[in-house]
Amino acid sequence: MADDAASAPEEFARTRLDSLRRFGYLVCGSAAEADDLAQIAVIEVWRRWKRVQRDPEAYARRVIVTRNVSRWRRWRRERLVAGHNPEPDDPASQRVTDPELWQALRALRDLERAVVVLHVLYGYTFDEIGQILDEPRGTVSSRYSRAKATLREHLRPVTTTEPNLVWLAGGTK
Amino acid sequence: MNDQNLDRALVKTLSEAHDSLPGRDVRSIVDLRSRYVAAKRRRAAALGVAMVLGAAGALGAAVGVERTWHYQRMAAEPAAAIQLWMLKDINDRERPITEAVKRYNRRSPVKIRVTTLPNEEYKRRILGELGSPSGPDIFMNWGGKDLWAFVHNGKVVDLAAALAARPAVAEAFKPEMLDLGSAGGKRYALPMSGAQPVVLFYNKRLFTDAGLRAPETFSELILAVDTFKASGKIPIAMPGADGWSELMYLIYLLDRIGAPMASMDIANRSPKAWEHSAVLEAARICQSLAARGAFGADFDRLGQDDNVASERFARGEAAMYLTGTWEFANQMTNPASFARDGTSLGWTTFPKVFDNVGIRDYLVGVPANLFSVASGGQHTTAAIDFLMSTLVSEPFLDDLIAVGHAPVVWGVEARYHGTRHAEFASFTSDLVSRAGAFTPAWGQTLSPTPSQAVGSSLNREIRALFRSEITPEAFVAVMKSANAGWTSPRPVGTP
Repeated sequence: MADDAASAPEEFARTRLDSLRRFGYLVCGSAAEADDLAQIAVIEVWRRWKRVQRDPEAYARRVIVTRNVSRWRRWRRERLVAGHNPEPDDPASQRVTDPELWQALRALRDLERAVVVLHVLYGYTFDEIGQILDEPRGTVSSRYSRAKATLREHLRPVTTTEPNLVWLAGGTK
Repeated sequence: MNDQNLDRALVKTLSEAHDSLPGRDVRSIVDLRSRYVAAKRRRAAALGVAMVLGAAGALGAAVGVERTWHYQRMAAEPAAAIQLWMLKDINDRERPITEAVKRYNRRSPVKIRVTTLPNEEYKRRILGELGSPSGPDIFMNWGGKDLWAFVHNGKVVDLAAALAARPAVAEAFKPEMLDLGSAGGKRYALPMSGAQPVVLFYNKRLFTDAGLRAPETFSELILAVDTFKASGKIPIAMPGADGWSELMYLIYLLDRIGAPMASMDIANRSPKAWEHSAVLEAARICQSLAARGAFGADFDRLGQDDNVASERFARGEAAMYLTGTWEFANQMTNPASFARDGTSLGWTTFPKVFDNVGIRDYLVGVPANLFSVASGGQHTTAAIDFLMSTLVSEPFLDDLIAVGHAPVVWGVEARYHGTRHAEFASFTSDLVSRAGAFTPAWGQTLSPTPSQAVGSSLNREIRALFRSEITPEAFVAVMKSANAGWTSPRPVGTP
């Protein structure tokens, strides 16, 4: 029995590290960074194992999302990518059916993207996301709306035949 | 592209991206383990490193971190000193900071001047003077929406870069405590005190004489209340004049009867917050507790700043006291207190109401007091440097423990050993690390706008509730409409 208890955190790492990496990738848009975030998340879960063992996954996801949102990390990520990694840092751009949508997602603000990923792909409700991110439900909901609005905007089909009436009228947008 | 199409496209794209990452081999678990161990070692060394930093006087070595905001100081000459403002404490709890300032001033050409103010005056002056030439460079606060209001107005310096340049400092703090001053990846405040949850203090001598043990369940609490009332003692001391003490009961009861989220909703000003049926139930229990005589006859006239409740508890006129852990230091430094014998002061958590509820240990209180740096000052770099080198330094942490705080950094448990306060500090520290959540008391607020409007309604109405002047139903109804009329300032970090 003691053995089981000692290995539960390791079991968690062994079975969930990969999915946390992938989640991290969706949240931050960089493969190298995702590795780092997933490791940090597991380490944080290990640190707090007694407290989080009922739902270590949720806590790990929270760590990934909150750690990602930081100027420091973004700066570091840019340096990582600029350091000519042999592996492509953004494998999805080669593999998704809709690369423009993927780039539009990457261009969103960090927390907006995180909310979209948690809600759309992982199926968390706004209340649950609020608990993960430690934010009021209203904030989560606005982030989601704004993200969708941006994505919609970004993907509005381009019509080339109609003139830009505002320009013609001499006004500025 | 209509919304359904967009949703479908998002799911598809995200799944594809999710799957596109190449797999990793098992070696990464080994990397993890060594990283984990290395991080632990770094944390343990952090305190040692911070002490070296402090001793060497890292003034010149500070990385320039000033963000320039638009506000300009009016003074033609540089200010003579770094102004540090904090709450005045009745029982010397500002000592850790004042001693740290003394140490700093010995080695720095620019001195820090400390101003301490009593509670209400402090709040008033911060509101009026932050950002003005007469205002502080470093100021104490409780984070939350008030801090964000200042941030929103460009009055607070972002410490993220300074922290990034000193990872040992950042990692020394427990992350949830560091997060108290964070939003959207920026850091606006650092913890400068220990965690101060609200706990139930009791007089062991009185309990032994009455044949009672420390109340673990609510019915045991009622028994204690009735027993002490019958013997002419005030069961529970309560400085009820500001409403804040009554609130502690309401919040704890909300958790204990199974609705901790209800408490969070209220703290977050969610629209439906006051409609949880648990709120009504908790209000009923509060009223009946007070009506039973748990707090004596004049509780609602005693102010926190008067110190009467603390004094009554000290002299054994009241058997229990539900309040923040700062009270430990109050009792220990009060010459008249029974607690001075070193063995008679007891402490425990707020009692359970039901057995299978409240599995996660919810705490109420002040997670930590914070220091922030005002923007537009002449000594921003030095101010930041003072905070970075002080707040995790050994002498400062030792002083915190000596006044009964449980510091919010890693690795302090070993420090308690052998001190007079060992047991209590360990208790508090353990409570805080076990806590499923740590709800700040809602009423503590600085800004004069809507949040204070709710704050003062709450204070007024909850006192009326405890005096049985309004029904629990009326209490909830008034709070509902007060809450409805409130809109929050946008926290920084939201686009």
